[in-house]
Amino acid sequence: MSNRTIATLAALLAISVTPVAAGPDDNSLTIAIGEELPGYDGYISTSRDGVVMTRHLFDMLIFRDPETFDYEPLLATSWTRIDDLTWEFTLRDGVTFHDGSVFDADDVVWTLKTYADPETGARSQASVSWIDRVEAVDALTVRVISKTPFPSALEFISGSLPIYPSDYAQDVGLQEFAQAPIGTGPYQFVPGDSNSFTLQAYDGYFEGGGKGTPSIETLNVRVIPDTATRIAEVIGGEIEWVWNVPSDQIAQLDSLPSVTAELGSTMRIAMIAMDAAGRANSESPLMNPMVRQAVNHAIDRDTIVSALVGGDGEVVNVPCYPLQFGCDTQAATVYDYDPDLARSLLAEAGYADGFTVRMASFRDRSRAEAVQSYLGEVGITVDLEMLQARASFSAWREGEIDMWYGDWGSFSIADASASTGNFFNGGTNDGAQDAEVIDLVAAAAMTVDEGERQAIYSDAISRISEAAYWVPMHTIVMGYAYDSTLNFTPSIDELPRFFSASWGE
Amino acid sequence: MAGFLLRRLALAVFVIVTISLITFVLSHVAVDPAAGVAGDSATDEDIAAIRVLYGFDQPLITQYFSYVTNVLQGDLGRSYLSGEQVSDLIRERVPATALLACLSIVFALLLAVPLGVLAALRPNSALDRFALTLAVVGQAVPNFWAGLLLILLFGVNLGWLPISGSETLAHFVLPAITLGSFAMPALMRLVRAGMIDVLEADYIRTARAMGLPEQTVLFKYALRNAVLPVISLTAVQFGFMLGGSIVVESVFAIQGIGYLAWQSMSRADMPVIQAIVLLISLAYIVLTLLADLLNAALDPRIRVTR
Amino acid sequence: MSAIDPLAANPSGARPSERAMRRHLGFMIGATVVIAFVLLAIFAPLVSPHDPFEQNLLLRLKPPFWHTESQPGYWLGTDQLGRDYLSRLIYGTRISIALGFGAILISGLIGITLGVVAGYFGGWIDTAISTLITTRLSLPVVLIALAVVAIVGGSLTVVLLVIGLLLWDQFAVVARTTTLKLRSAEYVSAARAMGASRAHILVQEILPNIRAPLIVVATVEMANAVLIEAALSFLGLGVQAPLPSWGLMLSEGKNFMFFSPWIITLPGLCLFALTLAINLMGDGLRDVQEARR
Repeated sequence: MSNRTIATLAALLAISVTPVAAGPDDNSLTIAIGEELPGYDGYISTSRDGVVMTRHLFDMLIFRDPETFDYEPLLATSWTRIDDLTWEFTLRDGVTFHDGSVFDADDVVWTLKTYADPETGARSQASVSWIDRVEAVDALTVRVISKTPFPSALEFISGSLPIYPSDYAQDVGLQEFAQAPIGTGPYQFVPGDSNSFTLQAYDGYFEGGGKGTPSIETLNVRVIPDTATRIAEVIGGEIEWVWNVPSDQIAQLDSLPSVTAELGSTMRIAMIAMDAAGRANSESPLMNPMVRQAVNHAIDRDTIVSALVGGDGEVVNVPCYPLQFGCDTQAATVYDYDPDLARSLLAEAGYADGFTVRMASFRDRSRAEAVQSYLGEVGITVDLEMLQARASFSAWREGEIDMWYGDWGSFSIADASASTGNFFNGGTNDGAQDAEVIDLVAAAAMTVDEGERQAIYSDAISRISEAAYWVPMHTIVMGYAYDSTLNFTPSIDELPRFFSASWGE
Repeated sequence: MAGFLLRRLALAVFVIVTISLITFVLSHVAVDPAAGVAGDSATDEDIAAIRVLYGFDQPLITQYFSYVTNVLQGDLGRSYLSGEQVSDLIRERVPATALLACLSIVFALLLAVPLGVLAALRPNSALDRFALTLAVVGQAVPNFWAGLLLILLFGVNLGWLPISGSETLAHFVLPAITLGSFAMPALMRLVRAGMIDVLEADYIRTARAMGLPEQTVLFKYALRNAVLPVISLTAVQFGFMLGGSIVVESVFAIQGIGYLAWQSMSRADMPVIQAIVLLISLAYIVLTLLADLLNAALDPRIRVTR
Repeated sequence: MSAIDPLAANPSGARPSERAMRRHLGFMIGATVVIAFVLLAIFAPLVSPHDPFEQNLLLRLKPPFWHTESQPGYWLGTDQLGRDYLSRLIYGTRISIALGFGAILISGLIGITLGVVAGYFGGWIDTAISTLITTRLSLPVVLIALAVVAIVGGSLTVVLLVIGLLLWDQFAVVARTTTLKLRSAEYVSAARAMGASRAHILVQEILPNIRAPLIVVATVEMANAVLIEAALSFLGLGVQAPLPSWGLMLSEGKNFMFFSPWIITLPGLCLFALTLAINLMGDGLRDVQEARR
């Protein structure tokens, strides 16, 4: 190699070592997420990171304040209930999409109609299947009519129904739309390579909506699958915001001067769902309720929560988030940690010598291995597969695994229909396929009277916990770590709002 | 020479066909390709339809021939996961891996050649022992461990170098050191052994006896001859690096071929895995072929014994 | 232990002497460390202070004895599930040692058979086997091993088989060339003239005399096998939890390395020490063989 080549290389190196302007200097924020997004269609890309991006790229008709839980105007300035089935929305005037086209009632009608059609393939049918018709009264007035009285309509309208530009989306098709999304949201999409992309603050974003006006100009998103690498980057300062930080790293990370780390409460519950319907194995020991009860008794959830969950995480005994409407904790059968009882239940069920199951999980390797060890103690050998979130969820939905140590955030909707209703409705998430429970859940979704709904859910919860279809585990506490000069507040709905974040001392 | 070349080429073609067969069988027999194409939320009917549509119901040999035909036309299929063309995915990742491998080999040579020469000049000296110890130690350090330690030291504690990603050249420093230090020992030993041999050769003695300056003897005559076998080993090591980059790329999250391979493996994205194995094997074969030809050109005896 | 001083067992004359080995410092250090690891592996249940699988979530991530907050009774601290790290490291020896020996047993058997057959018979058999060797040499080992494990599913047996089936190439190359040289040696021709069967010649005359270089190959490949297993397990596509493979321990511990660095330094050091020791033995054997020539 000639001297000149070496000199050139050295010069290149010197240039690239010097940090490029970042963070507060150019009002950009670089964040890292763990998994690349298959697309940016909020109805299809329902992973948590996908939902977060949806909230930045698009707007819903109304906004729900993360602290007060009050509904505030967003694309709609007002809304009224016309009858049991009908909500009417008055739309905001003068809103434009990122491509400059004007937002009006047609966009709302087209978007909701398209995704209410099961053929379109919205990932969460619970969010859209209640919609019967959507009608434009005039250019700025829209009516949404449900099939049956649907009490949680506003929950879904504010939570999981972004509005798309009908002309553009129809022009390019939904596949392409997911790759090059255009919305009305506070940030617009700038494509990157397969492992990074950028959100740029949208200059024409309307004022007066619940989201306010974004302060941070550029949001750089990098995909770094490895947790350790993400932590390293945040310590090194190259990444300025991460989440999903293991809770036992929080205190130590927070002790670093350049990093703020904290645990935020969430509405997310973790559970071990069991293959009670025998989808993965038609002779599964887990089809026996006694075996499922034994699994419940075998796991010391209190210790897992105090040692591995941390923060204000707590043990959950119900198949829903305890503060959700309908989530009656009193109705649940509680299984205490009692390995001896577990062993004798297994013996009684004919599995004195134990058996082997396949369990998949994704969020926290230590917790999954702790469960593996507890089950090993009573003779159940667990083949553990740590996958990425999406792959692990698919493995459960497609009935490939015996157990799934997963978790569920209910789309941040404060109603048991989004949790119990999503996992025991006979769909692919439902590993129990219990006809009675399916009926109850369906009935609850259609009942308007609050007392009546509550009673139906109590009944469902009592049946589910008695049959021990799940091991309800614990609430999830989300670990955040970010640059200590960033103004950021975690919210309980696990939807970081970068449009409300800002740089400052 | 022409005969040797032909034989060697025929062998290379045979080998690549064998490897394509192995990867093909692995990806079509061990897993159900129809389920892979159908994706997450497919029903049994969807899968059955795809099986017919993609020809997965045809005899394997028919499928293999259509696969080969496609590959020859540059069509490596589509990723099960993202639906993108595998060739596009790979093309996007090749530069990072190529850069990493080049920088690693440069790092290895920058260390191996001077150290090997110096060690050879004074066999059994302290420097020689140091060089040999370094070689033994270097070969025993697991590179993923070295990578983590380098991240801890230079990335986190000192904050001198970036930790992950492949945006700038600086991002490649730690990975190149990690990968290069694994190739260094073999190269260094070869330089040292070659130099010791050459320095004892008659023509060097003659050159010295003629009173040529030591510099000229060393660099013009000795090193030039000692370095020739190093070139072919470098080619082979370069191939190893392409294969070994999978570990290093995953530690440093470099968006290269190895990282793509690892990601695809964690999700059984067979078309991508198949293509990468084929591609890296092809690179191996070409590099070893080059190394062999080089050796043959340098050393006529090889042509005879082969 | 046959791998430590196997040459001494060979009664025929052409071999490095035991004394030369004893005088070789590197070899002695390497051999001592390898023996120590083998003994640890064999007697793991006796020397481990705790059950390596027993978790205690209340005693997580306790540091080793040289730290002030260390936990009495847990010399090298505990891991992220409160399992005794020393015991896990000791049991990890079992996996590496079993894998190292197992893999070279499989690969040695394949490689030596192929090499000797190719070298002895020559002709089209040699061409066929040489082609096979070239094919194998063109396969990227780590990549293939990962792909196979990803498809078949990771377990100790699968990893052992995959590595064993991949690492035979050097055995074959060396066995072939040495056999080639011996084929025309006087005592082989003599045996042939006396009407000895082919099998007899191959097993009784050839094999014992190509042993020395093959043992050097065995050390190299063993070190290789140990490192590949660790790499596969580190990438999550090898030995599965809760087995205490050193590579897997590194992978499980890396989230905690920032504030509990011993969690990655210790298993890494074990891997390094074992690989280094095996390499030192191999280098020592090679040195002595070369000195003999």
